[in-house]
Amino acid sequence: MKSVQRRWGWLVPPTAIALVLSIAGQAGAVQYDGWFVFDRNTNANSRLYWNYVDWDEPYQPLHQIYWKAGSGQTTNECNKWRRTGDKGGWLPAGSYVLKGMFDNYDGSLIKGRAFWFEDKVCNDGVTLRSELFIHTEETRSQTQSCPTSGDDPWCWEATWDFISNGCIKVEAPHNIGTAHWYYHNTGGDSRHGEYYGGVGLVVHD
Amino acid sequence: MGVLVLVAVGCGEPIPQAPTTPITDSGPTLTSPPLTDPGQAAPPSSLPGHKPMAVEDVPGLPEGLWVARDYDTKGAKPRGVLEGAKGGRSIVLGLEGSQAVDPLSGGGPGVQSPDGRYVVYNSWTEVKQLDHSQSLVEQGIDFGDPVATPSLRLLDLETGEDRLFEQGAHTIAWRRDGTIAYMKGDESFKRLNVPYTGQVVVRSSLDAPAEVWTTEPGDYMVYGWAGETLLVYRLFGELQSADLLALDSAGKVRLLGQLGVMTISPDGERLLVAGALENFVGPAELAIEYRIVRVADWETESILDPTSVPELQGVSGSATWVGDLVAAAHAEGVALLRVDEAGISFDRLLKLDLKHYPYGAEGPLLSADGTQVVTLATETRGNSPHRYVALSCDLVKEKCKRQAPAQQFLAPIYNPSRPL
Repeated sequence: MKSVQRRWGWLVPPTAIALVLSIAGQAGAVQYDGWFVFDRNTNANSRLYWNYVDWDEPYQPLHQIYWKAGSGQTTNECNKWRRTGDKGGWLPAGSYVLKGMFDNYDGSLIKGRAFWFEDKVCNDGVTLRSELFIHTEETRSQTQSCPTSGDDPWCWEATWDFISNGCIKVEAPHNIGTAHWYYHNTGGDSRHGEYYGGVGLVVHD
Repeated sequence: MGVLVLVAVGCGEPIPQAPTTPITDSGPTLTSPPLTDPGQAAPPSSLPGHKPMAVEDVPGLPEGLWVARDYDTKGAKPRGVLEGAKGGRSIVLGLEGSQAVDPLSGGGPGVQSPDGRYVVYNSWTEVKQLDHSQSLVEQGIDFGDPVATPSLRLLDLETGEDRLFEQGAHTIAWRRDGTIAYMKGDESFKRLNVPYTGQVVVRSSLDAPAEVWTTEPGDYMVYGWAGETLLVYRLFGELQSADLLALDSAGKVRLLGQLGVMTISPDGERLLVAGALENFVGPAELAIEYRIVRVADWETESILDPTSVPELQGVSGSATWVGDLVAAAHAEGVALLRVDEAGISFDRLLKLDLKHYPYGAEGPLLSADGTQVVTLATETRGNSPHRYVALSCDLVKEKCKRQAPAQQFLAPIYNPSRPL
């Protein structure tokens, strides 16, 4: 999936770049390809990479941005989270295609900025993992809601927030914001909502 | 099982092959903070004061019916094999191109009829041969396209006849009097990234007409019978949250809340359920409490607060209940709980060696006399892939027999309904 964007270098904050982009239009456009990679280390301490290639650069080196990320409560990728206390395993290894990107997702548990990926049968060959997202803990409007001293579902309080029911979680507001920006501006897709994006996620150990 | 290559995507444009060019870290200002923390959630650090149970190798499988699938099967999609039938027969399940055990069933392969003659099992037939380590979209299945047909198949253990029982259906509960319940889909196909919805239907016998018991279509999973009441999950939303429903008869549905049934009491009158713990400081995903509730009026008889006993933090969902003893799956082995007149309490933890069984025990089954427990475990030895084994453990001697190693998939045919 190639997107066409204006290149401004990395010394300008992303928000400023986005503003200038809207003014600059397509002048001097360059092409990028981008995709996510999730490198499984531990449930609360892994890395989510955004890889992209700028096809206008000599030799097209692979650029990598990464954020600390968590996934699941166990390292058994076939564990499905349930209210029974069954703990969700981290995201199954393999490749995925994006099903959509949302700025203001409004699910019962996931809200705000969220990337939705295709379902996956895990490595036992018989367990279907579904509803797989990259997300954070924030409100639908991308703000923090922290009314209690405990673990509020739409508030990034502590390291424990990296633990998830099986999705990939990154910290709010900064890291989900930069992941969002890179996705839209370096080879992801400019669209929002549910769509077939063609952008990939690769999960490996 | 790392897969590092993405090939052509649906729009026909390639996603680059994983790193073939020099890797540069562009990160002047936007990389993450140093990776220092920790709270690695799993596997948990070993609890103090418990010695792992000794394990010895024994051939064969534990008593009962099992569905197994070998990890190393080559060629066509491997099918399940039913082991443990009378006379030591191995029965290949399903049709060519299908697999026993439906991903929608939550891993439960099937249920044996109370009279012991039949097995109804979950089957899954994909629209074509698929490589699940790769994106299905890249294999030509777009979002919303059919992936597979879930079906229920009926195996007669006396004659060996294996036939289709219901197409577009999954998860079964079989009552002592022969009444059978299952989820019947609105359509035959499970579609990619689309919930599989339908209704829960009940037949008074295998040949009786189906009667719809739910009042609206939903993404249901049938759990089991507690006496005359059918327990059903209704999945919803992202992360597949689940409501527990009690179906007392056709159209009479009670919403019990976001709870999970760990096990049903032997008389079918009470449940051990797990649910969210109020006012817990810590990750909400770990805030689970355990309650004994009456099926008839949903009154709570006793509560076990996991924050009061460190060992309870590792308890996961499934359990079995014999007499006053409950054996529950635990991240380090098998947790034994007591349910008596004083209420529910923690008894002890039977530990497995986390070096070989890093995920602890799954689905422990207590023997009828409560002296043995058979559990599944995912085994890691050397560089070999994770494989299932069955461990039969003596609760008094705290020793286990290791059986049926090297299975990609292994699960008992087990009926959680009570009484039986």
